[in-house]
Amino acid sequence: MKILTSWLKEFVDCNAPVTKLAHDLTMAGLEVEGIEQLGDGDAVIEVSITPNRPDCLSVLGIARDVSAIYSCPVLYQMDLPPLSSASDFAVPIHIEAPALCPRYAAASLSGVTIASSPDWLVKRLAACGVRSINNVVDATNYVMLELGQPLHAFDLERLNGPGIVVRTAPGERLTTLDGKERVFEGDMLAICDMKCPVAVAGVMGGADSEVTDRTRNVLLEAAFFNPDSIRRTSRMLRLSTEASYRFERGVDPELPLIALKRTVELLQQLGALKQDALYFDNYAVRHEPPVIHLRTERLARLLGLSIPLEEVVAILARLGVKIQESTGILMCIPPSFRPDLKEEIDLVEDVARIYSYDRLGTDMPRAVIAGQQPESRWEQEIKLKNFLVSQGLTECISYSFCSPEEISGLFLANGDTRTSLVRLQNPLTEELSVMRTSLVPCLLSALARNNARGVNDVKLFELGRVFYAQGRSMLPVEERRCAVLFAGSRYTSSWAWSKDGVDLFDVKGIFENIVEFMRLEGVSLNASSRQEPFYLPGSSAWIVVDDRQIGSMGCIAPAVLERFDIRIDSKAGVFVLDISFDGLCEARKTRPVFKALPKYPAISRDAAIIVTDEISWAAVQEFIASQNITYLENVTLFDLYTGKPIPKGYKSMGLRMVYRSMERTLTEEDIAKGHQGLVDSLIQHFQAQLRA
Amino acid sequence: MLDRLNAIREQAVSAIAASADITALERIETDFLGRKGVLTSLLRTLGSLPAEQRPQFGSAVNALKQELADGIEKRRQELKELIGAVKIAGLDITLPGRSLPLGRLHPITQVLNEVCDIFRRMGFGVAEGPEVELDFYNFEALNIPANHPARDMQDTFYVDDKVLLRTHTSPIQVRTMERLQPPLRIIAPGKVYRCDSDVTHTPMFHQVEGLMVDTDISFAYLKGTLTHFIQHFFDAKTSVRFRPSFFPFTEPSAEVDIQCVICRGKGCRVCSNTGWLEVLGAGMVHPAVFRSIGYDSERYTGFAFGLGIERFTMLRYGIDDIRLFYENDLRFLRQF
Repeated sequence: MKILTSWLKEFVDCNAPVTKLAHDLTMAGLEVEGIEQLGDGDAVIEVSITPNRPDCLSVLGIARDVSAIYSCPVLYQMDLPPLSSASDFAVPIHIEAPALCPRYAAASLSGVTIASSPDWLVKRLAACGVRSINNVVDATNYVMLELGQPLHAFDLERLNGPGIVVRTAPGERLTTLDGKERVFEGDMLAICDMKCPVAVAGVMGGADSEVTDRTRNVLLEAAFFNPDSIRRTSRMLRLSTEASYRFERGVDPELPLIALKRTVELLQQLGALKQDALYFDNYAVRHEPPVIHLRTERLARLLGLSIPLEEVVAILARLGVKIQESTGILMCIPPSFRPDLKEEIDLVEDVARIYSYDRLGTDMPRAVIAGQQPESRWEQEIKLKNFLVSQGLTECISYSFCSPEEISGLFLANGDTRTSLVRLQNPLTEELSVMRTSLVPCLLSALARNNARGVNDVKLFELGRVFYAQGRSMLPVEERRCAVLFAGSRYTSSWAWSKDGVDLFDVKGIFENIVEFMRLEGVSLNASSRQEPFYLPGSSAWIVVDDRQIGSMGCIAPAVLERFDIRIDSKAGVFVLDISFDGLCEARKTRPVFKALPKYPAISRDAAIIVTDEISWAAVQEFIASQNITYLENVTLFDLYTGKPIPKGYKSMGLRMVYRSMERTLTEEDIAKGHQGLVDSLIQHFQAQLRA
Repeated sequence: MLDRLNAIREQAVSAIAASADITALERIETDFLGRKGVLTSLLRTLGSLPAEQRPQFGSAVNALKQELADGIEKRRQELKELIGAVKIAGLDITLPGRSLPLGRLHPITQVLNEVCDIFRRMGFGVAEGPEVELDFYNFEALNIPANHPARDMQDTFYVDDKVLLRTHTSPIQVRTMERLQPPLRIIAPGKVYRCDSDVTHTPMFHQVEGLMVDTDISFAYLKGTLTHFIQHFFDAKTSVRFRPSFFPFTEPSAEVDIQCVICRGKGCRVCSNTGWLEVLGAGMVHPAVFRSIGYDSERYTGFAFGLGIERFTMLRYGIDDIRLFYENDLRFLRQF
């Protein structure tokens, strides 16, 4: 809302300089967003008006708050015009829907001279952002800005009359002032003449009855409409005007006649009208102000401060509240222009606001210590995030919405939960139109963006929610997932490290560390032939917790990379770990149990066996475990080699067996037989050869 | 005999001088001075000498023993210094260390954690809720019925008539109050969504809201708690001001401004020359919210507040374009 200080000073006797005024208005809840100094000593202050203060959408309203802040008088006297009887008034006004239109007042003006407005008026309107049209329309806009009452002027001769009917008009049509045809629906309120709608009530007038250069007789409308009704209409028509903006927030129901009189006087002052006007008021449902009990004890308890009673009374009086006092309770009747004052708390705020928040105390709370709460999942998230960062991964955060194409780029099968998309009714763009069902597309898009900007060594993770649609009016299932992506070199190019590219075992290593870090039990990998459709065949594994799949890891298939515009050297790859964080949190946790440290030294023996490529490390481990070799404490794979002189299709596995007794120091003889037996049975079982 | 001693001295001294490392020196020590060493065995032959020669020869052997022990000790010190010198020679200490690469938390996460930690140290617990919400929790229960003009303050993404993307984390407050009785002290961090996108708005952003409810929570406690928070997050000298505002779910409501951290209140582009930055919304919980939850609004009072993490992060690091947060450009993420 833009306010001219010269205009404001016509309504309140206040001499504060504009910067002080701006500060004091801001500190009273009318936030001044900017001051524009005009050449002639005048200034425009732009005030941001919160939705609860429709009364401040006018010069008069701001003047009233200035008066309350500085305790200086408002300079405006409200005058009611003399009313005509229903029979004298040429245009009978009938309200069919009093709940939607409690009051409709009108003035009929004869012999109007349409002309352009004088400079001073044009300038004032322009300063407030309103374009000048002609003297009649300008006068209605001027009075709206000044008093807050939206008005409308009809060309009386262009109405089918005589008479105005305020009613709903489902199915009827009207071309509004902006040249668009509007269709009335449901309980949208119409202002109609005796034949058809001539205005969308409280929103915009019709083109056919607008005031033109040839207009001679004018019907001025000043009404009070039900705010909800105007808001619904404005939303349905997607049409918001200065009038609807005020009506939907609440205009003073006692204002219409005052505003009509002010408009008529202004038109007379402008020379547009020589005679006096006739006024008629159909006040179907009277405004009943509430009686609010304000308890001083409650006020003090909420604010943490006892404001002296006389000061409370004085503040309320300055705000136009009528007060009757009785032992600690103030019976308050708010003024009709304050629809926001409905209950005790509203008065508490207004007292605090004018008293000044700065003068209220500042204390640390005295509080009861809260009961112990279990660690929240949010705290668990932080732990895992910090851990992944220590593993060399950088966290990314992507929008929770993505494009349907990003999801389809994963080639998911029909019926996959992740194809049940939550769609937004009003997305910003198609690219952000569905809630993500997987973090994998987010990381792939992040990789593509980084590659495009020349960053190729990428180790990212994201921990966030995905959303699976359930059905209309039902909340989707939200699952927290964690995804990790590796691409490019394992280490940043450095003298100290190898230049190798990352591979699947980098993500597997992260996974194993997560399991160890979170101390999870019952987590295993399962490399079944059926795998996620976005992995390269034969390059992935499922992550399983007690027979429940909670994620997977693998190498992204080239077709998927192409969908995401990722161009990567064919020998390198993009490796992903995608896992349910909720699943990890719900898995069983181990608690370490202390084992006495061994008192006696171990003996280790190496053996390298050459086996076919099909033999897995897991199979070797399992076989060794099944042999129950005495004193065998541990077996590690210390080397894995393919290439010359090992024949194609074969590999060499270097095994290190560690033997130990908890009772004594072992000798060569203690283990020789067992170790030889183990090597022999490995050779026999896997049809292996011993590597020289 | 003395010739023999002289020969041993010569041999030992040159061996000591030639020793290249501590191990070699220790071997020399054993060879000459050890239990089975040359000098020890020489002393054992003392008995075979005429009695009158024994004292003279014995003291000559002991003197040589002492001389060699001193020589060895001196050489040992030299060698120790030498080892360091050999290792240091040719070392370029300025080469980068062989550190394992470290990742980074997203700057939003860092600031979110920092904000939450300040409140957690004041005894606030963390509460969470769904990001896709029912209209009831996001609006109705917060005293924002359908058609309320306050809905204009929040551009909402809708899924259907009843389901939407939460526009603030306030629904978590409602859900927590439904579940628990006062006293309550929670913060609700999380992602929120509004249809808005420009240099200062992204359609998804992060909020932390807080709620404290008990029998005697006053506006003064609200001011105290938030002043404490701001002076911890920024610095103890940061001025804070509370000015009246409007939120449907709080009353009295306040906007909390801090003295501009860029210009220290002198006025600059960031604070639009006002010297103040709006950083928090807050207020006393509206009795209508307590009524819709089923709390006794006469018995309980409370305060609530909310802040946008993106704004705090931009102020903390001087970031001027909010969209950078969600591009996941490593050149950006690695700066924090």
